[in-house]
Amino acid sequence: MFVMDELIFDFSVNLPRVLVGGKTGVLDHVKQLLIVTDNNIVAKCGSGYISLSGSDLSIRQLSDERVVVSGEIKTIELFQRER
Amino acid sequence: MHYKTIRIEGFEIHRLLSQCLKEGIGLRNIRILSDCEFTADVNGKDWLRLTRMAGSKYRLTVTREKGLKPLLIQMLSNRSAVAGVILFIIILFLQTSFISEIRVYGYESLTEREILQHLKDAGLYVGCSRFVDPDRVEIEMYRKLDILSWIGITFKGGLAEVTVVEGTEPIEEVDESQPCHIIAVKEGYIEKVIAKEGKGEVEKGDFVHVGDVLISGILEIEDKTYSLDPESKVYRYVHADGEVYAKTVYRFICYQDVYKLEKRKTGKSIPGIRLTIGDRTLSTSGFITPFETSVYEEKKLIDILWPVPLELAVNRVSELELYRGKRTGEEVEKQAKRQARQLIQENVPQSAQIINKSLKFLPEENIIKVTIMVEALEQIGEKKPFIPRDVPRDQSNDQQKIQ
Repeated sequence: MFVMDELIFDFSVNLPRVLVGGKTGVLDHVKQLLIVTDNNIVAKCGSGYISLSGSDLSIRQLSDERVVVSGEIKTIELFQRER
Repeated sequence: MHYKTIRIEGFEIHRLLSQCLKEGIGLRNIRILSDCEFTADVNGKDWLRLTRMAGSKYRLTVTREKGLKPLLIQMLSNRSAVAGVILFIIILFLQTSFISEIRVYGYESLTEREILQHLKDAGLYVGCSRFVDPDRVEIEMYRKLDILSWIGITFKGGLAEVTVVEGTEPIEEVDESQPCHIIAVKEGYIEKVIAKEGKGEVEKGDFVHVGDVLISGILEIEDKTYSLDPESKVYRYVHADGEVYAKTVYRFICYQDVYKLEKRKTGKSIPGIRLTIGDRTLSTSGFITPFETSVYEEKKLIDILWPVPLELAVNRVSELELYRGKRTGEEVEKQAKRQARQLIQENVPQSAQIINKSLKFLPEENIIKVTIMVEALEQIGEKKPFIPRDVPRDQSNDQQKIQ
């Protein structure tokens, strides 16, 4: 990864960012939650949307534009707003 | 550190969650139960804001509270637990407030019992307050025991450790280079003279008085080499040394009663109790004493040091009737011998050897006079320095002649 890419990744607060490992997923820059169910969580992250699908999903932490999701995460989808 | 577990019911729960995210209300462990119901943990300080935000659109129910504050509230609401904790603290405080044991170290000639007795008189004893001033006790001990060189008192909880260092009584030493005599410190009949240095002035069987020279430190030099004036004498002064044993006589007089006072119980008695907690004593016998002459008998029921020094005893004050009875000769003799032993122990030095002991009874009016004669063999010599010019007149004159 180039330095510029890293800077964009770290400081761009208006882009969706998701980190998934094992049974935990971390969604950053969350502005709004659109769908919250035990098998699907959709969050609006500035200029895009993140959708996590799976089973037994629950939000372990919700604070400071960060949502920590735990459960069996099967699918991650990213949507961009139409311009 | 204060969390509430809440259940939130209402439509479009994601709106509420988004609003929480926007307002900075932290939520944890959000579990979606259905489309219009979920549970979450909310910080105590955010609770009011959340209720305000939810308004009438959502129904909030607190299912559980976690953290220090609810724990304290729960604990304080349990009266028996609070009472138990308070009792525990009181016991702990009392346990460390009294002396439960005293250990004495470093004693040699004194006995532990003697030291403990003196400590008790000074205010330090088993059961006394832990906050007794050790400096005051130490000063009191120094005042009472002359032999004490140093005393240290340390407290380890209820244990008091007393360390003593005994001093020795300084013996006045005579300078070895200074001439001296051995003089008699007691009068008696000479039994043996061991002159290591100097000239023996007394022989076996001589009677000496206090201050008599036993071994002289003045030696006459008999020089036959030069034909000096036969009248003039030359003296050499030495540091006399040696031992002189003499038979000394001790005479003690004591009195014995012809009659003895005997006690007889009349049968009248008053029962009572005594309760001692720490230094405080409450005894019924202290304020109920109708008898002129009485005897106090006690039986301890409880005697504990832990958790508090507590003594509970039942007692009985019985009335006594006193009457005089004549003592037998055997009783008088037995008592006199006991007195004689005590007097010997108090007055005759331990190093002295008792050779003979006799008791003479002289009955007088209502009393018997007992004369105790003790013959002992003991060392009576003591060094006494002198300055050469202090020699007897005839000897000093001679010396002046020589010079």
